[in-house]
Amino acid sequence: MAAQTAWQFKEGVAPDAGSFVPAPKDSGELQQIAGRSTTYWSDAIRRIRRNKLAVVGFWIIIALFVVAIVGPMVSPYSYEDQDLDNTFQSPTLRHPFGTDQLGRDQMTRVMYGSRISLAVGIVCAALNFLIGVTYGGISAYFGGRVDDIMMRIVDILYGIPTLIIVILLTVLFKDKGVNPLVNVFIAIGLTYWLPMARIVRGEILSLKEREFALAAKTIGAPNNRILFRHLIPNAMGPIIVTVTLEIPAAIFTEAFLSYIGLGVSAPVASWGVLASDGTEAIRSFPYLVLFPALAISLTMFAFNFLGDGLRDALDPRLRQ
Amino acid sequence: MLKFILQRVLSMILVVLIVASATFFMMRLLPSGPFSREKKLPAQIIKNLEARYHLDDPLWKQYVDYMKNLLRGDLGPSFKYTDRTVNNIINDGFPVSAALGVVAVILAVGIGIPLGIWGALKQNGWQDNLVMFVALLGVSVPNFIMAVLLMFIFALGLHLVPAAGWGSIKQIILPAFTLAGYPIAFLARLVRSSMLEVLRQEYITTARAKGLSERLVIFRHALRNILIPVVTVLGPLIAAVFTGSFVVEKIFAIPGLGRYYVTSINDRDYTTILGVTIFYSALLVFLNFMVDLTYAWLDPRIRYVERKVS
Repeated sequence: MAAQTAWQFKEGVAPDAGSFVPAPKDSGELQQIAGRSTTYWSDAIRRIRRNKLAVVGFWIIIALFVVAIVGPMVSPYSYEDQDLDNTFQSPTLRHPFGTDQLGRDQMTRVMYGSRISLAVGIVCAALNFLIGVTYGGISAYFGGRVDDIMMRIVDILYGIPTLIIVILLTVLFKDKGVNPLVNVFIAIGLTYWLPMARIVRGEILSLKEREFALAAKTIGAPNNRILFRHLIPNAMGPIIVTVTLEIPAAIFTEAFLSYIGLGVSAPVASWGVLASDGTEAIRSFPYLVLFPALAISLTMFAFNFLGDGLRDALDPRLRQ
Repeated sequence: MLKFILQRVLSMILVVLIVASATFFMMRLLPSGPFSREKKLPAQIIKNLEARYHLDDPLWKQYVDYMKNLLRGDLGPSFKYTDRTVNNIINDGFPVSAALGVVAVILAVGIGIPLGIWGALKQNGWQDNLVMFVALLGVSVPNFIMAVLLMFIFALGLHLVPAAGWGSIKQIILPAFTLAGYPIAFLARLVRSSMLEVLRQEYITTARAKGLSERLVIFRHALRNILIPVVTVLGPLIAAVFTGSFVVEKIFAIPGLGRYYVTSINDRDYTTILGVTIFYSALLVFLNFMVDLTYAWLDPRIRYVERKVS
């Protein structure tokens, strides 16, 4: 009620009656803020809750994680248990997804495959944060010559199609005898941070000119504190969106590499390997390719749905 | 403009040289040589083979020789097929891949852009939701799954087209649509959002206020301005079509360069991997350059501005 005196009239000064009406004495109440103020994040969560596809994507991802963790534990079969009397079985109660050419339970194999795919997604996201965010942040924060050189390197790497770099690195590491899954991690980790570096650089370039960055500098905060405590947390929206949209790309790459025989190889069941085996038997046993194909597609939908929703919710420039 | 072109040509040459050198040394780093087989070859034979391909020279000399030959356009012999050179392989495979790629790009532009415009004009209607949902599915389904799906439905199920092979018009349909799937979906989403943005601009209101027909407003005034974002993504899309051909050519048994590339990787045919990688990078870098030129030509605002810190 304190903020109300502004409208009051002085005693004795007659208002020109009819042309304006004095404001009611409690007008200050109308100006009080009702409810809690919304922050950037609560606003974003509210927006994303309203986006049905994004919510569906979110729950599919949660379900995938549950299946990947719990599924293989409760399954009566292992991914490499062979049952040569029951090869190429159609889906039954005992084998809901059927069995493959060696009588291995397809459902168990698909569940193991989800572990590989999600691991690839998590590693890709982690490396994106570690390399991409740091690289882009340093490049933008120090600017000048440093920025020029660092971004020229990114430009050159950008000129080469990612898949070719990944293929070459996989060939190299495979012959070095590195575990194929680690191969894929290294190859994806070394290449998929490029878009992140560019986006973070763009964000930091504008953030570092803002007053709070200047304030931090005036009180003598060291560079790494300003960069990692003040600037990067403020760029979190675009960073999260980019990560969410890079994850399906990484999962796709792993499946693609395994499909052409460069990634994870048998008997470990990556979705790419399963799809590749299934493709060979497509004329006689089409269900064999069906389930891994559904699993890959569903995972990619889910991440893309969520990523799209996050972009609409978090990226203020794209708000309509 | 001239400075822009010069700058880009220099950086193009630099990129290709870096790719060539990096790939060269990577191939030489591999512990298993090109002649390690399951059955070990006698030492003398390996020695003779190494002498024939100059593998006994010091590494720097091999590198200099390779680069010299590269400048003349000679990519050397294939380790796997003794009677063929890498140039032979590219000459055989590339026309096939290029034909497939061109058809795919035409399909992508011819279907993706109209879909996006249609979606934008019916914003939030059921047509729009349908187009956007299908487009989101399109960017989510991996190309090798798309290939299998299309083959299963249209070849094995409905018997409309042959399942695989190369040579007739009918055989190009499935692989071309597979390759175009992702670009169609991507373009539809991009065109829709750019169209929505353009339609809110004041010059569109002006055009409508002048009493122009809706058709003229869309195709004369709006379309030209959405072409710019479309052209900028053509580079990555062309790359997607080319790398997609690695797996699509394998599935549909098409004798293109992508299939040779994958085969050479599985065969450890190092000179072919090296040569084809350099060829692909040079091609993509060049196509990106053409895209950039088109971009500068379409948008007069870019033409005279030096490429500063973007």
